[in-house]
Amino acid sequence: MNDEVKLFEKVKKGPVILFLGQAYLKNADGFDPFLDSIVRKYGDGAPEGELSYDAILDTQIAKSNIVESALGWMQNRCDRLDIPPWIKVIGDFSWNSVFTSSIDPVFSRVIRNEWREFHGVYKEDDRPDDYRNRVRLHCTFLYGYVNRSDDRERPPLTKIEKLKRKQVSTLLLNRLPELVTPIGILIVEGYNVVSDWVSMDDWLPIIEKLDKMQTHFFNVKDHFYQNELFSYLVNSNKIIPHEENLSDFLLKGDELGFFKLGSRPYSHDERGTYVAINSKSYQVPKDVFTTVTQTAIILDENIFIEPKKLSEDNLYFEFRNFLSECSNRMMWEGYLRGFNFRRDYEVNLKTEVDKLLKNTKLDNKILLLHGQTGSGKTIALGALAVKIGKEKRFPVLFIERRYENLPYEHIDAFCDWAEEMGADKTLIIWDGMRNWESYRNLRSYLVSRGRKVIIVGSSYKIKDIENLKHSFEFAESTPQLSTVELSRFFGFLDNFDKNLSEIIEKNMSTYDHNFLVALYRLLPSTRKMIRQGMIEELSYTESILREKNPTLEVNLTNFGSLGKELIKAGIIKKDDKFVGDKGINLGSEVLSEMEYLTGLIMIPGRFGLRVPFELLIRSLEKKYSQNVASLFEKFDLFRFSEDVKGNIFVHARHSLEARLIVQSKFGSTKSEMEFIKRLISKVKDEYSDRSNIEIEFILDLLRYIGPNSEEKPKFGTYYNEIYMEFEKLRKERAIHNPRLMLQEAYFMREYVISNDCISVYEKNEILANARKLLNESLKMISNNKSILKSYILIEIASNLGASLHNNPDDANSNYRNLYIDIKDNLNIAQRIDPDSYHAFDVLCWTTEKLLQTPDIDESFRIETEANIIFAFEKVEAENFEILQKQKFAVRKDKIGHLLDNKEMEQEAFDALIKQNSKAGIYLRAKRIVHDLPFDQELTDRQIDDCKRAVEYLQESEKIYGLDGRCFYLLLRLFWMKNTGKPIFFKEKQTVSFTKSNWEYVLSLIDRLYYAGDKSEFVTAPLIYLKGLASFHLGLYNDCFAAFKEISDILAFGNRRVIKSHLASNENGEPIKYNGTVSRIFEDGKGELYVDNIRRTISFSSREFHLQNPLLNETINDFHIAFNFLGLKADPARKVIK
Amino acid sequence: MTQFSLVPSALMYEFEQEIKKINHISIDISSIEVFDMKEVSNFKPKFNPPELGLIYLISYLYILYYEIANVNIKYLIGKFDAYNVDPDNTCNTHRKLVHDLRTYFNHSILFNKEGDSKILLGCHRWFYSCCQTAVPDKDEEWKICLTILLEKAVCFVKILLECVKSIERDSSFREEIGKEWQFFRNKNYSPYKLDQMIELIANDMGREYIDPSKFRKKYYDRWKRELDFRRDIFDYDIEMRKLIEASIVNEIIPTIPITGDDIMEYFAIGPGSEVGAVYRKAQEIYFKEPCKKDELLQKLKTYMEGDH
Repeated sequence: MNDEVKLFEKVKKGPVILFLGQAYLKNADGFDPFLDSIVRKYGDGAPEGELSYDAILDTQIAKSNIVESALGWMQNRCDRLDIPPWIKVIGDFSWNSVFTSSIDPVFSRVIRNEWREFHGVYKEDDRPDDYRNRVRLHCTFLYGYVNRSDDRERPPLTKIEKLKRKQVSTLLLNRLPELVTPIGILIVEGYNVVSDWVSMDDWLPIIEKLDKMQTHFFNVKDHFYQNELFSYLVNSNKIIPHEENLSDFLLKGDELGFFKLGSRPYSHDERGTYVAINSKSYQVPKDVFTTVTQTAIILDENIFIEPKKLSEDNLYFEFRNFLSECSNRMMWEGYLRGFNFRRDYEVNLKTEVDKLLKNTKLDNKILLLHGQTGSGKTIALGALAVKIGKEKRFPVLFIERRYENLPYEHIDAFCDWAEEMGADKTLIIWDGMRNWESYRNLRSYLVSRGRKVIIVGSSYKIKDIENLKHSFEFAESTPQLSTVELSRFFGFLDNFDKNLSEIIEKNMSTYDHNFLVALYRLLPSTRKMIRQGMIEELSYTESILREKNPTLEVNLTNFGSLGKELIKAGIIKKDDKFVGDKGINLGSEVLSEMEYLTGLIMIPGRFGLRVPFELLIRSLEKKYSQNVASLFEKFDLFRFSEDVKGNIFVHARHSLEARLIVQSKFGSTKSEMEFIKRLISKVKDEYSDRSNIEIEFILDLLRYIGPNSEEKPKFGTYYNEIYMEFEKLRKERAIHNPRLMLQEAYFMREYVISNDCISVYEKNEILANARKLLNESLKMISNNKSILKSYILIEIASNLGASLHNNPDDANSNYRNLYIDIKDNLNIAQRIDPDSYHAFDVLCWTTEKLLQTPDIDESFRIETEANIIFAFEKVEAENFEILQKQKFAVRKDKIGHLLDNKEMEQEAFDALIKQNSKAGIYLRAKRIVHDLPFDQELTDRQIDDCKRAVEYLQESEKIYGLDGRCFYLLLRLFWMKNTGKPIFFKEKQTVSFTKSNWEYVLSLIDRLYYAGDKSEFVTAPLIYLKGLASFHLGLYNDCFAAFKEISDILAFGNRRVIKSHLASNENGEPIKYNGTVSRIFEDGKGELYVDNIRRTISFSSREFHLQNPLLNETINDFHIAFNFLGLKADPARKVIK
Repeated sequence: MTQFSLVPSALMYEFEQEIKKINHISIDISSIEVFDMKEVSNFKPKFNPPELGLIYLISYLYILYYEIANVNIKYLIGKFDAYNVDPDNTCNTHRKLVHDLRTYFNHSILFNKEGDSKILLGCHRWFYSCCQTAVPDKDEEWKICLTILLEKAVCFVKILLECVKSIERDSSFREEIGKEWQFFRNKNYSPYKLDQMIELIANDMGREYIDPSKFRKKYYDRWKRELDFRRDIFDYDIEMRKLIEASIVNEIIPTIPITGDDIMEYFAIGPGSEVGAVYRKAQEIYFKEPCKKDELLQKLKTYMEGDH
């Protein structure tokens, strides 16, 4: 490959950063229209000779103090300048980032287009988290920008200002090496070695940090070489000089097909992105497109355009390329060309998805494709997306595997738009290889916002399918090809070369579970090699290997089909060990640089994780990091990928390959642990927001080896090493990130629980330190509704629970305080995230532990029992999401048994009542109504039970005073007694309450506000009831205040959008209202002024089938529905009586 | 769907009136007529039957937008941002649609060609948005499309008028813009002027059979690029003549003794851009010193190994 081709390839791959010098606007005669205009207007005479930026210093602008108006004039001048064609060409390339010493906005005019946004970086504090994003291009103005008026952001206008600005310029310029990375390219254009404010002295340390051949100066003139530093850097190959203009170079690359100028990097068509919904095309608005493509791929119509015809050689080449890359990125064209071998289980997958898409329910099950690595899940999901997309009925989003927290709001934006366009449902295919909870969380989020979605996810093989069947459908991907599939497979191969199947058949003795992954390595790189005979080729590789290493005993069967191919490719050798000097110390081992690099990539790679490139480079020792690019090229082993934000990752071609390599080279857990620790130790916490990909990567990695993973038996004994590594991060590198601190505390607790070799004293100390850490991390979170806060509170409770576990003997002395602390923390956590099963679970197991403690104080035992029964009651009354969990039933059973075994004697119970025990009253009332349903209407007998229990509780009111549990139960039973139904029961219920009934309900709620800890009783459902009761009593101010209160505390949960009740009269008939449209929003939603209540409520024009509602238009005969978000107009025809 | 406030002939009248206003102002600013209407004086679309009317209208607009006023329109569009005109990019969208519709009606479109498929899809989407069918076949449907296109064309010229008026009012920069516009126009030949040049040069060189229009279309982009990217000052007429002459002389494509297949096999590389790049190098070597296939491959290998 010659140098020019190499450069084109590198520019194509990226990252590629552009530096524009101050001469970029100049023509060949040195004329710069921008500088010329400034000097004419503000200089001391007509411009003479070639102008440089120094000409704008100390002009009339500074002297007359007309900075603001002069900058405005300059901006206007630039806005009106005709953009030279060569600049347009440079702007047409999709750069990862631009740095410039110029100050004008001409180039930014070129950058802004349909697919790309311009974002300026003007000072050292500006540090974008997506600095290499090609569609949100960041342009760093080293010497300020004329469009800015802030002193720290505008260009210098005097010599003194220039000197001051130089410091900022140097700091900003220092960012270049990290952005370019050892594999990227820095391109310099429009630079003048003599006059540019970024001098060669400034360049030297920057370019020295980059490798040879990474920096390319274009438009280099003869006089450049007179500069000593420039010549030095050229002679040392650190600068590659090009006489040609950058625009010519780019045009040539475009002509040769290396890249396409002017095209958006992540989509195909400048005409926009269109999605078919119910067979009609709709253009995705730019804002929705920009938002959603940060996270997911929209299967737009362009994806389904029939690909152009290829020659047979090229078809084979592309097929092999598809096999190489398809598990890492979606290659849609390959699916259209039929490169994906269709597995039998895909038929079942498609049938299941069709069924779900036809289903009209709001809360659909999630379909999970699960199976072991290498069984073709990614390909199957890609094929599914293409099939559904081609049918043009449902919009499809595809989410690739990634390491950040999935920004649900991006997905929501697309689904919302699609629904506005009339989509019945949106199909979301998330190839996340995640725990089932991740998919459930996504569904909860979307459903809680009223989105109609079907989610298809991927996961490793799931064992407890039965326990998840209530909310999941399953399809299994089998790794082994069946006999029928195998015979189809040979026919499939012959599409690419008629001799291919014969050759494969001759070479393969078995078709094991690795076979499909191995296929890429089995196929010769070109079709011509097939014609020459593949058998010879393979034998040749093997003989070369043996020649190089006569002691090599290749026991191919040990590695399976993929192993054989890796051995033949020279990637794995039986005796192991890469070639190269051993010079890197890792733990007790000494490794060669290639071994070390391989470990850093393949150990996360075996879990399918991609290593953020900057983290990898930081983990390498300095002397190796510069020539890392050449190491990558040595073997066909590593893959690079860039996400839409410009983050670069290195990873294995396939996780199965990574697993084999790790097994053969780094067999011991200790070695693996050393690599993991090294990666943790180098993590960077530069940005505090959640998009820090390095932290996400570390958290993902820990998830795969952590206490809830299958690897726990292997890694459990090393958990102390993990938390100590985090401790070092805090203490030595001052990285205080609440998410990492939570992990640290979590691993501390897990280490204590699973390790019997340390003393109780030590255990207590570790747990206490972890709690201290968690409390510190809580202080760092300012957002009270943050889900992270909820997680930390739950971890504190778990930690306290572990203390109970840890100190059975001492428990009596402090269990009461511990238990109260646990409850308090969990109550707050549940207020933030009421659907959190985790918080409930912690309460259950800590209570279990407490109840099993010998010699526990009897009155405290009764209190605890009453509390846990109340916790179950609250869940049954309010929380459908937890109820749907199989684990809930198991817990309930377990607690039930525990309580039954310890059932009090009647005498003891009577004694309690005599002592006016509140818990005793609560438990007695519960005994009266022991089997109340939570999801069906009550029988007559159950209603009678409720009446008796209500009477009992009302009689005992003086005794239990302000006990929240008793009031809560009374409220629930009063409701059920009068309606015959649970409070939250199906949608759009009407309540036949009299005024006094509502008043009584409201009085009970009011008392709950004063009963003990507010966070325990005053939950979103209770406030909702307050709003509902206030409305029916005509207390509209109180009603609206209640819904405002909910919005202040609640961020998550399905209940948000479910319309539980309708405004109704005493007979339980829904009331009809009239209103006029008072506001209309762009998304088709709006507000109605309702005369009867003299308030505005929200409405959706789509629900009323109004295409273009007009202001003041009257809407008659609708109902008012209630959900956690407030009051909403509901078309009368939709009422379910 | 549009509200038919005006019939096509009335819209056409409005369209032409706006053009006249634009021309008056542009002459004032830079002595340039944005639309040289003399060139289309004999070509006025008729609107009956509407299907034919639409095809006529598309051709008419295409000639105006892409041949007669192409350079001026491009120049003015470049000023939209500065004067905050057309933030929704209506002009470019309309212009692109006219281009696509012309391709749709006047050329045979291949569905398996990526660009063509996109044009086809885009046009069908537009038809659908006008008359609720992707393939209109009734007079009523064609009439709706015709009227909507004309309405957009009126909107297009109104936006251009807004832009020239903004320049007219911009006392600080009006003079500079006038000069710049003239410079821009001078270096961008109109197709008519170019065709005349080509005809003359072809006759001079004894190649009377060359069709100037086809020849221009074939080479125009390459010539334009050559001139656009020169940053020195030169005589455009002379340089353009040189380019036309060189193109006429090299009209017969010379071949070399190796193919892309040979390159892939000899250097064991797969299909892709690299093959094209090596082929280009082979051409350079061969034209410098013609030789046989084996020798050429050998020279190429030496070059590649030398990594020049």
